[in-house]
Amino acid sequence: MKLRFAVAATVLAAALLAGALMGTPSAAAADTPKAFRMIVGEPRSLDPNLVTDFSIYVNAQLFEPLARIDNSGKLTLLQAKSIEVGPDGRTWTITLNPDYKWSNGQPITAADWEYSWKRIFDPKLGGEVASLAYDIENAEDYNKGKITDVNQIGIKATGDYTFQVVTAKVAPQFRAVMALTYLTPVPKAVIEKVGDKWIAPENIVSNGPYKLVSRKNDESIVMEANPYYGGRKPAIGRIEMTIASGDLCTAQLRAYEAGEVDFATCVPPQDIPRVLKDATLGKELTPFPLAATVWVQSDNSRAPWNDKKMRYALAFAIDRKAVVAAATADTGHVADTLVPELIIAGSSADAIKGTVDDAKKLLADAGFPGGKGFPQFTLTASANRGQPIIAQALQQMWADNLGITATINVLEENAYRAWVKARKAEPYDLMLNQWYTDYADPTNWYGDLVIADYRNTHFQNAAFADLVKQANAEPDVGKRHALFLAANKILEAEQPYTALYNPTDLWLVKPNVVGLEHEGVLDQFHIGEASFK
Amino acid sequence: MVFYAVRRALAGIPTLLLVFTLVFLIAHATPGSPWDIGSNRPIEPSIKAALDAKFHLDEPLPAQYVHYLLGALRGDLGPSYRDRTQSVTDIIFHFLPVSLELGAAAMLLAILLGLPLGALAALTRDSWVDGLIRMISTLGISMPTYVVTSILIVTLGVGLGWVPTFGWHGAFSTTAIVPVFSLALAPLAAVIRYFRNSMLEVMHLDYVRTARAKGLRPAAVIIRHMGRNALIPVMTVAGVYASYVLTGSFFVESIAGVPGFGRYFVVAVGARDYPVIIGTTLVYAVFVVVINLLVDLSYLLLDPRVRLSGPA
Repeated sequence: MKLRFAVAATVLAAALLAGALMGTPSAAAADTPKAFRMIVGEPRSLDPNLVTDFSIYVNAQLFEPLARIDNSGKLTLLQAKSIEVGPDGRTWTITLNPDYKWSNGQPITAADWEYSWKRIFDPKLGGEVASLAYDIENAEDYNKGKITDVNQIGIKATGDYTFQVVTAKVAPQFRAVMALTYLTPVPKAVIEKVGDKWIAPENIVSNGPYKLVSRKNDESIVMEANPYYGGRKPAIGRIEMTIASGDLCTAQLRAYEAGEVDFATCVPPQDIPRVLKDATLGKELTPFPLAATVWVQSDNSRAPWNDKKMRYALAFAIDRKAVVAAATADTGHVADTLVPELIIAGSSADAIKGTVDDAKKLLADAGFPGGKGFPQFTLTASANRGQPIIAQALQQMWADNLGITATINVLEENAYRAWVKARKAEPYDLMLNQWYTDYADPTNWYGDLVIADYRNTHFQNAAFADLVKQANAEPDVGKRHALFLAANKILEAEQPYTALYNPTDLWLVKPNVVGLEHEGVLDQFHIGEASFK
Repeated sequence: MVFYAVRRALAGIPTLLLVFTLVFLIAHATPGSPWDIGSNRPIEPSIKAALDAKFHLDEPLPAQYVHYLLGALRGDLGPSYRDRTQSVTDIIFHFLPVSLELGAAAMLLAILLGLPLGALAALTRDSWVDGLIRMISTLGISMPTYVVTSILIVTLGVGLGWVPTFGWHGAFSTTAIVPVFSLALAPLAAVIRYFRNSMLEVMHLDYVRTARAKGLRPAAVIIRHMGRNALIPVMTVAGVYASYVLTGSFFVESIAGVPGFGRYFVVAVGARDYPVIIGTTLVYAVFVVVINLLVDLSYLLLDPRVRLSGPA
C-alpha cells in the first residue's frame, strides 16, 4: 500500500517535472512570426458603448469609428464616406462607406449606427461614453431620465447608408467628437437577439480590421483579420493578447526583454534609466509626447487658497524640471500651462512667471512671512502613476522655499477617484490630478475639464466662462481659436491649476515590426496598420 | 468517526457566517464604489443611481446584507459588477480550477521534497548536511513569495530565457515552473522544519526503542514507526498551507500572470466588486474549514493513540 503510494507519487512528480521541462516552448523559433503578441490589461468590457478606460486598446482593434482625428485636428475618414454640416451649423449628415461590413459579412447600415449611438444614452446601460456626446440634441436629458422617448434624441437614419445627427446648438467640436474611438456602431441584430452576451466570442461581430477569435476572461484574447473589413487589409493576420493585472508595465517589460511580446506600451519609472542606457532596448524605445497634463490644484473656494497670491506662491516655489526628473526620469515635458501645446489653442506663452523670491514675497503679502503661522494643509495624491513621488517632491520644495509643510495623503486608486468626486461638496486643500485629452479639440479642456469642473477646483470666472461659451458656438475656426486663446490667458492668470508636466508614452517595439503608429489622442495604436518586416 | 466528522462540519457554519458578515462589512466600509473604476470620467449621478438600483446598492446596508445572505444560501452569489455578463459562480468555476492545479502541484512538490529533506536533516543532526537543509528552510520561510517570484522571473526568464516570464498554460508547461516553485517554497520550508523536529522528538521515545529492540531494520523503524508518528505535526502545518496554496496566491498569481483565483481576488478588491469579494472569501473560508477537518480526521489514521481514545 505504502509502496504503491510512493511509486504513484514518484511517477506524478516525474511527470510534473518532465512536463515542465518539455512542455510548451516559450518562444517558437519561426522565421515569419505567426502573430503579433502583446500584454494588455483585462478590458472591463468589449462593448464599445460601455467603457472609456484602457479597454479601448483592445476594442480599437475590433471596432472602428467614422473617422480619425489627429492632435492637429486633421480628420481622416474611415467608415464614413463623407461628413457634412448643414448651413445651420447643427445638422450633420453622415454618409457611410458601404464597403465596410460586419465580420459575419452582413452590411453595416445606418440603422446600426443610429442604434449604437442612441444606446449610449440609455440610462439602464450605465455607460461612461454618454457625457462625451451630450452635444447631440436631447441626449443629455434622455440619459439623465428627464425624457423617456428615445426618438427625441437627435440621431436618425435617413437611408440605408446615411444618417443625420442634430446638435442642440452650433457645436464645431462635434466634428472631433464624431471621431471618438467610443462612437463606433454595434450590431443591432445580434444585441437584440442575445442581449448582454453579445460580446461573448460565439456572438460578437465587429466592424474593424479584426474579429474576435477567442477570449478567456483574465487570461487571453485572440483576434484574426476581419475578412469583410472595407479598409486596407491588415498585414498582420493574428493578434495574441495575454492579460495581466496589477503592474502592467513591469509585466510588459519583462516579457519584452525575454522576447515573448513584440510590443510594450510603457516602461516602469524605475527601469527607464536602465532601458535608455541599454544598447538594444535604448534603440527600440520611442517616446511620444502626449496631449495630457499632470497638475496640482487647490480648493479655490476656501482660504487660504482663494487668495490668488497663495496659488502664485505655491506655483513659483515649484522646480518643474526636478519634478519631471523625479517622476518620469526626464522623459516627460515641463508644462507651464494647463492646456498642452499639442492641443490647438493651447499656449505656454500665457504662463505666469516668477522666482522663488517672488514666491516668498507673495507668501509674506498673504500674511505668512517665512511661512510663519501658515495653517496645516494636506496634499492628496493617488497611489498610481508616480503621483506619490511628485507629492514628495512638491512637499520638499514648499518646505525648503516657503517654510510651509504639507502632509501627504496617498489613496489607493479607486478610493482616490471616489475622494476626488466627493470634493464637489466637501472641502480640501490640495490635490494632484491629471487629464488625458479625449478628443483633439480645445473644448475637451476648456469646456469638459474647466467649465464643467470635473476635478472640483471650484474655480469660477465669468469672463472666462463667457469666452468659452462664445468659442464653443463659433463656427469660424480662426475666430474660435482666438477666443480659446483669450480664455487661456485668464485661466493661467487665475491659476486654479498649476501645471507640472506633460507625460510621455514610452513604447518598446521589436525591430521587425514596422508601421505601428502612435495616435496622439488617447495613446491609441492600430495593429491593423502595422506589418512584420 | 462519522459522528465526529458531522459534528465538526456543523461547527464550521458559524465560522462561515462570521466570515461572511465581516467581509460584507469591510467591503462596504472601504472607500470607493464599484462605479469608480472608469478612468477619467466621473459617472453621471443619474446613471450611478440607476446602477445602484439595478444591483440593490440603493437599499440600506442591513437589507443588502439579508438580500445577499438569502441568495448565498440558495447558492446564488449574485452578478459581478466588474464584468456584468458573468455571475460570481461563473467566476469561481472559471478561476478556481487554475489555482487548484497550481496549488496541487506546489503542495505535491513541497511534500515530496520536504519529507525526505526533513528526515535527512534529523538523521544527520548538526552535520553540514543538516545545516544546509536548515538554511534552505529558513530562507524559504523568511523570503516573501513576491520576492522569490520576481527573482525567478528576472533570472530564469529575462536573464537566461529558460522559462516564460508571464502567462499560464497548465501545470505541465514551462509557464508553471516559476509559480509552482515560488508557491511551494514556504510550505516546503515548513514541512522540512516540522518533520525534522518531530523526527528528533520521536527518535528517543519508548516505542521506537522497542521497535529497534525487536530487531527491525533501521529503514523500517524510520519509515514505519518514527516517520508515521512524526507526520502528525507536519499534517497540521501542511493543512494550513494547503488551504492557502490551493486557493491561489495573490502575489504569485499576479506577478507570474497566472489567471487564477488569487489574482482575481486582487482585481475584484481594486474594482470594489462586492459580490466577487464576498464570494471568493467564502470559498476560501470553506477551504480552510474543510481542510482543518481533513487534517483532524487524518490524525485518527496516523496516530494509533488518537484512534484508541476517539469514538471510532
